Amino acid sequence: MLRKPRFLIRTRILILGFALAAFGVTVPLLLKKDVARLASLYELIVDSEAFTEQSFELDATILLLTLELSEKSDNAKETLEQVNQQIRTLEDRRLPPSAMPGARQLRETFALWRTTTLAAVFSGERYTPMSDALAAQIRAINEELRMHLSAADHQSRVQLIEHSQKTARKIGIIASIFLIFVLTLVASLWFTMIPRFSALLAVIQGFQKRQYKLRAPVHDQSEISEIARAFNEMADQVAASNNQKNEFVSTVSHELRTPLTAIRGAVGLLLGGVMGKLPRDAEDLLRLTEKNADRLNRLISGILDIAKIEAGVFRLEFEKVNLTTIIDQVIAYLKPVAASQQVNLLWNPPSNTPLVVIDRDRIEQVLLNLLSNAIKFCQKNGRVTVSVDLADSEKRIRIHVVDNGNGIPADFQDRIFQKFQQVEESLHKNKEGSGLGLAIAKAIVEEHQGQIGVSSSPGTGSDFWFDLPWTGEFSEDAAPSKAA
Amino acid sequence: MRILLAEDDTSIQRIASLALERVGGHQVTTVNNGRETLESLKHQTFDLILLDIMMPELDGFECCRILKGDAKTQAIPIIFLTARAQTQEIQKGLALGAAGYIVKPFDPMTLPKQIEEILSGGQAHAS
Repeated sequence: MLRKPRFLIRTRILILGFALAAFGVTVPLLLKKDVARLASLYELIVDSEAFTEQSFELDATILLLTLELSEKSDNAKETLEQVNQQIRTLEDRRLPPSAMPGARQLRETFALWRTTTLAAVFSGERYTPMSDALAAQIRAINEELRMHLSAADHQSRVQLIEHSQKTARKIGIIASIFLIFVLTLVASLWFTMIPRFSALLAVIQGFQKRQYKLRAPVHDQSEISEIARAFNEMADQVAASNNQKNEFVSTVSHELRTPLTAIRGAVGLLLGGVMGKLPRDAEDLLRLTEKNADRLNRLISGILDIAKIEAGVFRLEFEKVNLTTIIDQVIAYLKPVAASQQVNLLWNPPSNTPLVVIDRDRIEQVLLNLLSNAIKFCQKNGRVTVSVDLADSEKRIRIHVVDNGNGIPADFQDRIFQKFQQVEESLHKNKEGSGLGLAIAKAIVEEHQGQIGVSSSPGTGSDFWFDLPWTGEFSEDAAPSKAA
Repeated sequence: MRILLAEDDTSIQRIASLALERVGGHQVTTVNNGRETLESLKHQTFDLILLDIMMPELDGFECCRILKGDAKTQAIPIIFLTARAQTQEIQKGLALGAAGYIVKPFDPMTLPKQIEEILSGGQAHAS
């Protein structure tokens, strides 16, 4: 067993979770100072705006007071208090340190002005040149303060922008670091999990296709490897039980074939006249025995083939052969059978004879099966036609076996290539068969990476077809003679 | 032709003997396994050995290996009689030096002809 560092998927997911939590906690802490600084700068700007506004109001009130004093208005005292209030409000404003001396000067000058003005108001004189001069001075200071604040305000705005940019950069860096970290983890999960899952899936799919020798790769002690290990243990069990089954079927077939060989042999010798001439009835019975022994033999062969297919030990031996020669031979072999049932067996060989890479014996088996079926299910004077379709450009050849027999019901066409399936009608008509032939034919064609199918409508006949891989080459031999 | 038939199933022994004697006109000696095959070859000589593969005590493959390794018997042609028509088995038999094989169940009436064809080198197998 491999002992690699135990860097499990769940460990990585945990790290990812912790990283997210850490990011959630750390980022506000890291940015706390910056946020506070930005807030204070913003407040300064807001305060400064408010101060400037109030400062203009103060100017206006002082002008009003100066006017009232010169007109000896009774409102002057009240306005004076208003000015007093406005100056206090100004003092309460948070000002940049640089504005403090100006504010103090404003307050002191106002205090002097206020005393002077109050004295003038109470004395009834109301207006004094000194008060006037002081008012002008206050306004001058006020204006100066405004200008100063305006400069400070400008500076705050510049700082606000600069600090905002700096903070944005900081957030960018933190986010990038975090993103790289998260991406690294996600990538490590992705690049270990996806290929391993794909490999595992490929093995499982191969296993489904009866490639029982396949085993999933076990890399380390990660979860996927655990799954792979569990799958492999299961695969071992399946393969072992499958081997047992295969061995069992093989042995049983052998055991069945031995007595069958004796029965078939004895009957063959009797029918061959080795023991002398037999009475007619005895010969008929022996022919019946011979026919059924042959049938039993075909059934055993079929079961053995199916067992091999299901055990995944169905091996093909491919060779490059001339397709029309093979069809010629099968046609020649079946012609007497067709003739005995008064069925016309027609073969339309293509003008060029294609070369195919196939297991010759097995494809002969497929052709024999499809043709025997077609002949079997034809009526008297029926017709079975074999043709080869080269039109497909995908380097595939389609072979058709078409009959004008009874056809196959639509609901049965889907099941016809499954084992032990026969049209019910055929059972009544005593068209004996193992029910394995088409299932075996399908497996053989599929082992050739081909497809097999049927299109049929009851009453008009059936078209059984299958595809074979084609080299794209033609044989240089002369085209075979047409058999009919 | 003097034929030694090694076959553990007595029914098949009888069928094959009958076919070879009455249809083919050969002289047949039967034995039940590989060990008996080796035993009878010590005393007699044959023109052909028909060997079943699955036999008790000494199977057909092992028997063939011994016969082909012995200078005295290596020239005698061997034909396997087998119920196992699997390519691997057939190739194994041919690789051991067999002249061919006949797959069970065989047709007794044509058995002598099949043997004739194999021995004439016309085809390595018949079924």
